[in-house]
Amino acid sequence: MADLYPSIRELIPHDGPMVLLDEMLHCEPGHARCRITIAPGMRFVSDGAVDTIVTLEYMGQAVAASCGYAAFRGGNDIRVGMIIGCRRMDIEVPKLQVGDELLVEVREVRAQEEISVYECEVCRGSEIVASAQLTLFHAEKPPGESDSFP
Amino acid sequence: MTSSMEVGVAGVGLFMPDFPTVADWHARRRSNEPQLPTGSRLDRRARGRSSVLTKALAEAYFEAADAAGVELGEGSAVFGSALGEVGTMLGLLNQMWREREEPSPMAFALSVHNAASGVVSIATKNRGFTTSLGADHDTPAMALMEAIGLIAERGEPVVVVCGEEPTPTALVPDDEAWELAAMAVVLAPLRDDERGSDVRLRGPFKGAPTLAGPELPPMVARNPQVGLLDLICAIEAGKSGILALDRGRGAGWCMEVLFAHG
Repeated sequence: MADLYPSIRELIPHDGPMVLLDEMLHCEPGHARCRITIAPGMRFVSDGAVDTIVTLEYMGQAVAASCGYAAFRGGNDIRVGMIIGCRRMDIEVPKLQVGDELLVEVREVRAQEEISVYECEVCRGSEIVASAQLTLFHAEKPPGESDSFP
Repeated sequence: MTSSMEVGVAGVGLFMPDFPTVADWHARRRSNEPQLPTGSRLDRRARGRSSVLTKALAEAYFEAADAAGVELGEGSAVFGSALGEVGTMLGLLNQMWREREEPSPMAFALSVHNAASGVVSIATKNRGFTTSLGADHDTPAMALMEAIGLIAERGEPVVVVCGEEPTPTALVPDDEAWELAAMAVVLAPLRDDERGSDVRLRGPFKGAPTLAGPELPPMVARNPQVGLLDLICAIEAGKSGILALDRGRGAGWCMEVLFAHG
């Protein structure tokens, strides 16, 4: 199923080693699921592990991928976005290990042109390792971009 | 963490557009029209630069500190806000990413969560400890916990001041919106000769409330800092009991209010 979607590098505005997600597995309006396998040498990995707080960035990139896919489908450029708030972040394990495969799931709670709010969850198998509600700011929409998710 | 330490309450203060001072609140003397905080105790330069939130926090801080007889240049302060200077931050982001303008360095300096803490400590020439924290609807509880820790460590009064600017419409839905409010409580160590003082606090802890906050307009009751207003009201009411600091919207932190007369 994953090969239905473009490379994650085409969906998010990040570049180089800051692209942390591996692929998009599913995306529909207001909902996306992405996958990441923690690999040696990956940014934020130290001594074979990564602090679970870093899942905040995984969540942010999954939201970016969701918005990026909508732009991609509409033939538009992807937009820069920023995490401006994080509510109720629960971290269930202190560290994640190299080799862990994580699913990052994001669901839109509400969205406007400049601000959106997403419920986010990161799972390792059936175990939820982190969850949070993120508030994100979106940069100016490129001229002519449609609001609709095709 | 549960604190069993008791502290005294030396003074309270508040700023709300309809009730600009704690005396107005206690008398339920509503302003003829909503007021904006002036930041009158800040110097002219700071006043001109400061946001409405910083000015409201400053008004509450000074009122409580005056009531407590705290020397403004001394002591510690804990500032709490869930969203902080979010209006300034959103303005900067719009400038940078939507209007493609150079952001204002001054606005940038005052967009941070500890802007009010910095402005007030500079205005009072206070080189003591000051900090800022945000914990959503648990901000009052966490600010009180921080203050009680400081009292245990330093043995000096701590001004706890929590506030929130009016909700930016882009960020919070209308049915969750709140209006500007800032509240302050000065906590002080209990000395042996003050064991029988009027009001003491113990906590915060997670428990079952026995005191209820007053009925408030929704735009006040939804403010994440309303727990500190409820504490001020509980002190005003003069009844001992356990008070929720989050109106059920946070993690359930409570404070025990203790009066010598029960």
